[in-house]
Amino acid sequence: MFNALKTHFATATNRRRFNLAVLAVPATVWLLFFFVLPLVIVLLYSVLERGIYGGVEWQFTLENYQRLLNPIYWGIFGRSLWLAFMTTLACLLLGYPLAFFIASRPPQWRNTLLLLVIIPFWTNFLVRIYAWIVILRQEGVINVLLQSFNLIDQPLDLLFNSFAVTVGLIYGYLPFMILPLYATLERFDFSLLDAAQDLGANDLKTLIRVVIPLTLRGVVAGSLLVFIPAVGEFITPDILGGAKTVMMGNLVQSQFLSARNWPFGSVLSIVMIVIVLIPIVIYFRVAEEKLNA
Amino acid sequence: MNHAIELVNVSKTFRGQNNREFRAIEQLNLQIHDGEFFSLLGPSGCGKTTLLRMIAGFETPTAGEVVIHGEAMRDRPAFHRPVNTVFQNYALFPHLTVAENVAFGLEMDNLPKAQIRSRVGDVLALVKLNGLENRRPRQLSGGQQQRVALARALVKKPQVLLFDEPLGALDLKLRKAMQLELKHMQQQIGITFVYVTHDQEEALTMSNRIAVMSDGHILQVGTPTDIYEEPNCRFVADFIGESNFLIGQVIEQSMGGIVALIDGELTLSVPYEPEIPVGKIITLVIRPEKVTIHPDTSGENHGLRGTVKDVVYIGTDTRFVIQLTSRSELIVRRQNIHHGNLDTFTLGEQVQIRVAPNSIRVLEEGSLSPDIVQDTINTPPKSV
Repeated sequence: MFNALKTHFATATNRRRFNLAVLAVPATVWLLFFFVLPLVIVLLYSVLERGIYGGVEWQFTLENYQRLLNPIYWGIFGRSLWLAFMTTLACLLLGYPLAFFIASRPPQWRNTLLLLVIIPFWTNFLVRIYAWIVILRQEGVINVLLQSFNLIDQPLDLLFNSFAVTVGLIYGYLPFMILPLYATLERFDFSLLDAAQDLGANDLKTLIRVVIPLTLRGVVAGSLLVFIPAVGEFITPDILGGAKTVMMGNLVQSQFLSARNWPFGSVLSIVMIVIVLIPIVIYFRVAEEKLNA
Repeated sequence: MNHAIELVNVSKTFRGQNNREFRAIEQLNLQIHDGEFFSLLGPSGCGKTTLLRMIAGFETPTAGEVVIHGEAMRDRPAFHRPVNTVFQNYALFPHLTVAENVAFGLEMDNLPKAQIRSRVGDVLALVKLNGLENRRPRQLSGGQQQRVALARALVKKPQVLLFDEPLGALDLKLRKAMQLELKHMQQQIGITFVYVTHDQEEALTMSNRIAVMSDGHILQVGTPTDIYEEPNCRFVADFIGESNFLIGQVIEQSMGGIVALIDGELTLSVPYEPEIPVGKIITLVIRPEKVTIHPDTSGENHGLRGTVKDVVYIGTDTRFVIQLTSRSELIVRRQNIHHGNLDTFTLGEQVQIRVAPNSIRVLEEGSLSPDIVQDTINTPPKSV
């Protein structure tokens, strides 16, 4: 009798497990075809010889990886990391106070303010980046204004350099920082601010000892959401950086489309994936442990 | 006597939605003595928490002055005031352990590490939390969290400790135990406690003095006995414990007493010293436990009579609702001391009621409904 019951419950549990597993099928299939398979293809191409008109020759080689030793590429990787890092830092410094401001408004105001943050998404990304040319160029809004106030004699070179790229990246990715920060700050218990003040903490100490530790999860999530796409960005540097500011993404793009060197393009893609994986691994290994402690 | 806290003409106005002003506190004056357990008691929305937050420094008075131990606090931010707060929902730092929570305030004062450790240990022993130093708040029960909040505030050795309904989230048994524990702790360490609560029993249990608040005003300040036995207005009498209110009219004053006519039907003589004009409308407050109820021994003509309208047995007591006049009822509580005297009165029975005249509190307030005024004028009172 007891055993019969046990079997009955066991099958019921199994059936439920099966039913739940069915729910994961569509996404799994999608990921297999459009994520795992392309990744395998990229890995495969990276160890094959280049075809003359693009494509690959089915001949195993590690030459493509040897090309990475060329310092030219290290410079480009370094610049990409540096620009992405600066972008992340700037987004954090701009986004944190704003997210804090929105989260501390009365509830009826918050959604409106969030909407204002999201509104730029309604315009095409390319159009928004092109708009920065109008703002930054020599006859652009900023230079004209500065000159009309006699603050400068010569127009400043604001366009087609790292500065312009960084500005474009910050502009493009700021909402990705604000939204996760807002999500953690919205759940923040603001009575803890009173408690900290009550115990003798001034505003700065309250921020460092209470607010930031408790919203670290949002800081990390926002930083990843900004850093990862910024490292691989190729549209913004293409439009605002001119020929001088090449980033990893541009390199990959040019290898596939102009140089027609698919294997080397694949190698560069893999390097990019590895670089992007590093902060994610740090996030899951170190930060998660600390946050869950 | 030294004042730990003095509030001088303090007002607080909040600007709400649509710029509408809301007066939370109006022209309030209050002195809290050094070393006393003082409660701010009132229904929710009466301004008691706002008052506490102004003392702590979380709110700035719109007008008036908060003085703590002789020092005006106008320009002192919360983190520089010699007070600490135990918050309603404890507001413990979830990312810190019990010991780190308690040490937080001392670290803000930049005390040496060794001193912090020993003081944290002492205060955790005082609130009986030894052994839980390395737990996080969410791993503690409500009662334990409450103790951490208390320890965190106590460890700073403030001159005044503020409590914002700290026991509200605990269950009844634990709350009662904590009430006594807090009271003993206050007597032991001798600092001033200012305690906000909406629970009148809690305030009566713990306080040396109580301020009863309503609508941003203090209605009465006094010892628990003062407040309960001699409420100065109907609100206080109603809010603290249970009260019967009989509205009447003074028809005679002589030799330190008055005779009041209730509902045009019934006269009562009560001692009352102050001058009061005949014809004045008054409210008589009678506590249910001060009234006794007896079988109606016919023939005797003195005393009050009424009809038993309802009998409710509630364990410790039995509550009787007595129809006293055609308009007024009287609730009577009888303690169930003897097994033999349970349920001796039945519905509809005529009973005699006795109440010591000096247990009746006279309030010079109240209004009669228009038809009663009419009655009083038309029918001459029966004499008793």
